[in-house]
Amino acid sequence: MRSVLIISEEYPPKEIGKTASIVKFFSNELLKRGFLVSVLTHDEFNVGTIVENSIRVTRVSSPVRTFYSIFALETYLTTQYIREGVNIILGEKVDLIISFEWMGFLSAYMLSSKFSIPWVAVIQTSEKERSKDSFDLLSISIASIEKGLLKKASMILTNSLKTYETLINEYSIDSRKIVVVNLEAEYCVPFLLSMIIK
Amino acid sequence: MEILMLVWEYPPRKVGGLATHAYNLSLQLSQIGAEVDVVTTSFPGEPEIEKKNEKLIVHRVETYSYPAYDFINWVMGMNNSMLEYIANLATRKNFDVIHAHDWMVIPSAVGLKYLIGKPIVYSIHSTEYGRRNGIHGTMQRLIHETEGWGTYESKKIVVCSKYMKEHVAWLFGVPSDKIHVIPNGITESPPVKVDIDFRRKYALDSEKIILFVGRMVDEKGLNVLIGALPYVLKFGISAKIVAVGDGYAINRMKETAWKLGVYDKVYFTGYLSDEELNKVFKISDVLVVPSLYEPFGIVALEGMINKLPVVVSDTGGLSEIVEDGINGLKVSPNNSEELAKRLITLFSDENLRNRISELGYKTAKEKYNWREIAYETLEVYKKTTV
Repeated sequence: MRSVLIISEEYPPKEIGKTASIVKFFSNELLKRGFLVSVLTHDEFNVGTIVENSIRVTRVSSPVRTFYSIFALETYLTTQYIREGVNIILGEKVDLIISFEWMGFLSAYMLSSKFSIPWVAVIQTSEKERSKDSFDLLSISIASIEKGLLKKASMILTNSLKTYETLINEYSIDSRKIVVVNLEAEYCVPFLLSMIIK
Repeated sequence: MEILMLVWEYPPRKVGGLATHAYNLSLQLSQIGAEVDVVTTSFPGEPEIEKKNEKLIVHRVETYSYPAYDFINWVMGMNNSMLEYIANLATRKNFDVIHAHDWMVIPSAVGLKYLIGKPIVYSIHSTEYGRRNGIHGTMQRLIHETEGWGTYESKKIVVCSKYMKEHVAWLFGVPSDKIHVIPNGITESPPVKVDIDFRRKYALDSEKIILFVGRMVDEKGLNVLIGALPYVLKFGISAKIVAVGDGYAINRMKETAWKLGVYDKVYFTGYLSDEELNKVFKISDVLVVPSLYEPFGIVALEGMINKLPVVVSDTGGLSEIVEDGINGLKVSPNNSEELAKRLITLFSDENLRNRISELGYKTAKEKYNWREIAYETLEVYKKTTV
């Protein structure tokens, strides 16, 4: 059985924006196609591994309980995603890593690099778009993560033409790596699989 | 044995004593057979990869791609950069041990530990609790928690003194058999010639030079030494404090000197280069280390190796380096009057001065040798792989 590891800061019941429902949709679509799906996500209170509707969900919390900044949280969570990601990868042969939004990019890159697994990054909007005129140092740091790491992804999925343009013009990412799709359309997942898993 | 050493400062970047420590340790380890890759932060004009010798490679990681808006976020950006770099390095190397120096690199060390499945040896040079005499704010709490997390994730912990071993065991609830005491080392500075004109830059010919070297922060206790000066002067000894270093509390120290009427008897030099400091050691008459908190006290060893009589606070690592009346003098911490009395005794007794200077030199030279320290560290590494 083929296996996919998904890394996302948001997953139901933790829903802050649209990401959680997209990740859930991706997971179910992969499941329908016979994949073993593991989701790594963040939850400060509800931690541990549980199988929810045939999807293995592992929730990690920050090893440092003091919240200082979103940037610090990302760094701490990266170590936990790596820890659990390695356990999943060593337990079964993972064929693909999919990470959603910037907070999961570093761990996805590290796991992909260490175990030579293709990595697909999903980005709905870039930090450049989100912060617009208030592009402060925090935003520059987040944009630096997006810019530096997205270049290393095997493929990037986005649902917005504006983001596509930003990735090319602001982040200097090779346009051939970026695919603009409706992330909630039924064809999206089989299309992704056909592109990545031969 | 292949070692990955993570340290945020490494020469030529020298902010505190950590850079010198990491340099000497990595160099000596490479000379006794270990292969060492040091991953540190970039420095203007220095190469990204520098081969120091056949077995020591320094990797300088660019950290400014994440333009931090404060210290903590800079540290986090540095860790992101280090992790990204090491992910690639780890595919080419087969490390046996990850050696992390202080909390600032703990996220990288832990991330890597899980990625490559190798143990962490964590050197704790000081703690946030000790540095600030407690945990008082959000930033401190984050640092403190990161330190604690590091102790949990590491297989072995190295500290520089018995005092620090007890402190770390108490503060983080670490079993004491996990903590190993390995002191810091000292190397002799190159010989320099100093003449009377150089000395006159710092003091009058008639003045004894009482040297203080350290960051101008409360925990280093310079105000205790300044408080002792009026007693010494009143006794008829002509003396001047030469205070080397910089820090957030410098203005408060100056204010203390002003209020005690000894402002013209305390020379705040600011930061000095290694070369200049080496010369200042040569012209001084005594080194005082009046710290309130001192995990180790490397500056006492610097005084000893320069054949200066040293007077130290009876606290932390200083208590273990100095044997009172043998290779130095000890005083109770935060007690200006007692410090003054010991200084007066010292200035009045030439035999005592000579004796403790000679024995101090011998202690520093024989007991705090970097080669020996490297062997001890290698033994700790080996214990993690059993």
